[in-house]
Amino acid sequence: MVRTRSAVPAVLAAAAALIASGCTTSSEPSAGGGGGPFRYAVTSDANTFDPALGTAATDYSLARMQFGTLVYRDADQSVVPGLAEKWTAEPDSATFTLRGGLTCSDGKPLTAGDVAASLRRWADPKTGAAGTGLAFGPGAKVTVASDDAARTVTVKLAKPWSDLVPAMAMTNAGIVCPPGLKDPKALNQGPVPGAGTGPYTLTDAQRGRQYTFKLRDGYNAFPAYEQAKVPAGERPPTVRLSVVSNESTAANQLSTGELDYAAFTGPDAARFAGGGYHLHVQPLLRMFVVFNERKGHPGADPEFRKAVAQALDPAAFNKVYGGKGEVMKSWSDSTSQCANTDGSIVTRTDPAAAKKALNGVSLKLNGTNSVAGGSGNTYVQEALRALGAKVALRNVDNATWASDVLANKGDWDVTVMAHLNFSGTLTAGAILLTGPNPPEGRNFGGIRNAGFDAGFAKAMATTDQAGKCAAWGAAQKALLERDDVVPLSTVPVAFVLGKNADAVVTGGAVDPTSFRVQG
Amino acid sequence: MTAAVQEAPAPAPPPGKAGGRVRNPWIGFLARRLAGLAGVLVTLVVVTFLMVQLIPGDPARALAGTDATGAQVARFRHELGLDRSLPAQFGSYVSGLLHGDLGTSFQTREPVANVIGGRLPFTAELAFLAILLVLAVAVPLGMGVAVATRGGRRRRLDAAFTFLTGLVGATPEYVLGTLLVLVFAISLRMLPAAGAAGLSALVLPVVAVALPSTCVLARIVRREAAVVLNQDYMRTARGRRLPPLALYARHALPNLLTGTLTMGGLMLTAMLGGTIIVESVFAWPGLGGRVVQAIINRDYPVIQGTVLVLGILAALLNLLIDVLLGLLDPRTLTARSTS
Repeated sequence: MVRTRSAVPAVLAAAAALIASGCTTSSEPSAGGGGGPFRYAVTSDANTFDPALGTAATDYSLARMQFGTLVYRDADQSVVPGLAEKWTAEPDSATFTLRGGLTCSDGKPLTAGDVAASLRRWADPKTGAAGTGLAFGPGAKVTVASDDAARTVTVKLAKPWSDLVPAMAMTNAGIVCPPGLKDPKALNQGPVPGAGTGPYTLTDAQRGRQYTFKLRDGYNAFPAYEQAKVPAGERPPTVRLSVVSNESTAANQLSTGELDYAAFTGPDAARFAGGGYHLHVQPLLRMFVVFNERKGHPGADPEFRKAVAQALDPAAFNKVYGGKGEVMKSWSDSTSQCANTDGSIVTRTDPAAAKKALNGVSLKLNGTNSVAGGSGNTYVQEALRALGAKVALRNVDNATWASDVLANKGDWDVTVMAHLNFSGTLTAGAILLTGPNPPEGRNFGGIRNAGFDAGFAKAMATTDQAGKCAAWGAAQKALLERDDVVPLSTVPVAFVLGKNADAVVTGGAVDPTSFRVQG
Repeated sequence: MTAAVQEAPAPAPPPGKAGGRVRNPWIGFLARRLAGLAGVLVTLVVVTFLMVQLIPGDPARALAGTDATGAQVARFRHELGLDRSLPAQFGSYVSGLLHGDLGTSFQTREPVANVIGGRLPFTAELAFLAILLVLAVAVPLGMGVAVATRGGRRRRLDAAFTFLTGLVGATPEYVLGTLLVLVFAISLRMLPAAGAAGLSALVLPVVAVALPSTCVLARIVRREAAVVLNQDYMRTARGRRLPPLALYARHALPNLLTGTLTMGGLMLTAMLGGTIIVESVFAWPGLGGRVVQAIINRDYPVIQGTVLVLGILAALLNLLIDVLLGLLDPRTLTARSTS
């Protein structure tokens, strides 16, 4: 008799052994009462460890942990002390007075001269740093002076640029101590001992996988956020940042307690509504239409631009992305200081009026598919097509779109701009809508609007907030009247923290140095 | 019963023995395979270099960010060497390869060898454990079902096996992975949902990678085993009432190994280059996710280096399988290779 059952126990034994091997390794304790590290997820690996060169969200997170900035921006966008305890500002200069007793991560004193050297390097075009256009103005000449005895650092610009002080809160403006400045190559590729000025020190870096930070003993330059908005609890002594590219995976880990914090742009955020999780919804992308206004393109005709604005329904566009965003009245949303919220100066949706101008018009619509596969681009295509326009959609990945549109190397007429505005200012969008064409400048649409240029220049020439907002109001009105941009909506991001964790949300992002855990 | 047990068909005499001259068949075999390997290598170098040039988009623009000016983008382009002619770039690339240098990542400025060295062990760990699991489960399962259903017996078992292996084998890995997470991580809390910390973190991704291949291979083994079990020599062996272990392990299994090993080698090659989705579902820091990131960022050196290394690995694995098959059955030394 042939026995046929011998394979079954073997298979079961193998499976049991595999499961058992897994079960023998206990998972790491959670933050707070568990005593483990505070764990949070980022969607991609870091491109650089140099704060000046960072261009992506993970770069900013790493920089924020390790490198302090002179000032920070609070939840209401106001500027609060950081490494600097106070400052004075003019349209073309600012003087920062450093706190006493500042040290680098190796314990050596951080002097005003060190801070000035770090800022000079950031401003130097040879560094190839990011964010300098926002901080100092396009192509600005910058001089930085210091006085160690008085603990002051003075930044002076050749032309007025009143965003100077708030821009010092950008992570690109992170102050690097002399060991990092002496070896920029090493700073780019990994932690440099003694280079840090922030609250945490990077103690373990595993590229593509995880980064572990330790809280510095006696650090005295934490952001001076409004205390009422700082959550209760203790700062975690150890923070671990893990690379988790898939939002559903991060959501699974958050729900099983393997993570304490993750950000979601997709539907997974809904899993955490209620249940004791801390949810903070903020605008991530500001979506608006920009035209190629150069000769030979339909966008050169103001009537065509107006018709497109009439054809599009920003509320319907918002629904394409889940309906949780804000319908905008400018190129940024209402969380940006001085952003227009007056619907009367925005062209109203009126498809019937748009039909005559759009019927039979051929146009090339170009957009990035990096936001929900480019579904907003498809909405725009269909809205224009419904009114008789012949719309050829080029829905491409971000790098191709940037090359085609932002560098103006492609053949395009209309684009849906997905603006990742980390500074949360109007300036971040405005510098893309004025000045020389690429490659000399950033004005990818070739917009020529004297009223906008004048208002923008005036806003940059005053530090008086009321005057600044009045100037911005004029600039926005001039741009919207000519339909140089068509505001659509924001695409939000949901920051979700575990049941015993929370953080300060500022400038549209969670400040990773502000994590608090309870229990 | 007087007839001796008919063993598995004896291997043919070693090839290469003709006209009284004895020539070692391994020499010709290895010469052919090494020449093929060199051809694959040259093709990979040329194709990977040209392939990345066809990807639309500007690496310098991707690196500089959306707010960068044309001057900043131009500076990056110069630093990356992208302002040189294509032949000059190719010359540098080949020269670097000849010196063992795979280049430097555009995006992170890391040496590409470090990028691959840091990620490949994770992918290899996943792939090798998965293929071991596949072989450990699929071969006995396929054989067991073939034995149990021999001669049309246990039709329900046969139908259930066919249905289940068909269903699981056709289920996409990301669905399997998600189901495994829902059951074992979220509902039962037995295993981590994701990550690469500790042995426990390996279980679900390995099972997710291995399950579809296990089903496919089990079906192949079952079909092959059914044929082998009906051979005359197996009937004779059964007639001599040999113990099941000797019967199936000594007489049936060797005749299944050729196809199983060939299939297993192909599966392993596919796993080394194709666990991207499982890596994403389980936040596994393997090579697949890094390549996707490199493609998005137009990081040419990382794309080229990874494709080159994976291509060489695939070619070497195929060579290894051919050598193993040659050892098991020397007749294959003169036949066409698996690759």
